[in-house]
Amino acid sequence: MSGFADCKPEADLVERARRGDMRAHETLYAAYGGPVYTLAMRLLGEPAQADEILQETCVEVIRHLDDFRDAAAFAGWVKRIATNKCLAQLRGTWHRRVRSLGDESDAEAALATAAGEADPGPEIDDGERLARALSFLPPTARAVVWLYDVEGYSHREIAELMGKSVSFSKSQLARAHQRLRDLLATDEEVHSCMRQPSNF
Amino acid sequence: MHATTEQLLSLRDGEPVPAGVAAHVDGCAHCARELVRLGQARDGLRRLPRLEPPPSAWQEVLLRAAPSPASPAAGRYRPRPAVPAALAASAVLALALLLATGERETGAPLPGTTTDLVASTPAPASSVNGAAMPELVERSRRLESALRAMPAAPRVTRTGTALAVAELQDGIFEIDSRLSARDIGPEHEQALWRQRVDLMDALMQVRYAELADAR
Repeated sequence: MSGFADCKPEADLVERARRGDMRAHETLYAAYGGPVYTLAMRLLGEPAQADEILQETCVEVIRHLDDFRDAAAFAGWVKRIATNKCLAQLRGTWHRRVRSLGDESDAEAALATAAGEADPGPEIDDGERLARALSFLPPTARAVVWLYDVEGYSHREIAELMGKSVSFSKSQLARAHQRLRDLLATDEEVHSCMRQPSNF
Repeated sequence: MHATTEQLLSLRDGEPVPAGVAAHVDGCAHCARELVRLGQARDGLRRLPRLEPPPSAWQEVLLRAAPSPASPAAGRYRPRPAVPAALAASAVLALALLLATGERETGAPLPGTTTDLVASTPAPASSVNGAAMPELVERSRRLESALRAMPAAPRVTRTGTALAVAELQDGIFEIDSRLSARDIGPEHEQALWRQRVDLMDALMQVRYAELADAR
């Protein structure tokens, strides 16, 4: 979970932040900073870009909190700002260029290489494998599976956010799960081989 | 014929599916297993840990959010009267914290003069020689962010400083143009990123010196 569900600030805190109390803003940030950064990391996969999204989101919250009235919907509002920024980033040329450093079409080979290079000492847990497989998904499929399965957006909302159809969102979700299954199977295969005692 | 992944996902999420699909899944071990796996995958994703942003992130936010007369955004941003003063005060504190952090990280004192700035500035302790491309890209991005967060140039700046800043900015612009070319090989691209980081390091130090001079 990225943690937006736990971000429920008191109405009084939001009101103080709206009046320009920077300590209140900092308290709000302590609640939503982690969820925004997690969302951006899961969608974009690059710490530098996630940091950028976090900062842009915070600045927008500081600048536009005055227009925001419903404290109960604060987390959803922040999540939508961050999601929109992440999706804009995914559409941007910068992301395409950085992603092109690795070949997305060969994600399984990349995952196998990463697994092979991993320290064979401690066992990596299922969560780590899943996080790694998620990071190797094509960007759109990765965004859809995270937004739908974790953040709780509906297919209709994802379609609106991405400017696509509902069926596009559904097919991307299916694609993401098929790729996750394949990637995890590859990862498991590599780790099984590494666990075999060597005869050499 | 087995159910498609899309149909299984609809079943998993309680959405309507064609009449025969649910009946098929009930009697098909393969599809039933796949349905369970899809549920486990969703639960696994939800259990992935929350990631924490860098500790300096909030300070950088304050610097970026502070209204600056030189910023083109200043004309669009009309916050409540209390906000700019609070932001400005927080930004000063944030800059002090960031500069202190930078000093600790590089182990080098902030330059105090603008004389022979680039030539006389010692190389950063964390050299970029041998750094991998993703590391260079990230470092470049961080420097860019830090530069953007610095206060606007003072109204009076030494000519030499202004020229050094302009030259470094031109150099970075030139590298960006080359990086956006389609047919550059990975080695060339890595070399360009390295040059970009070097130039931004130098620009950062010139800007520090410029601000120190203006005090």
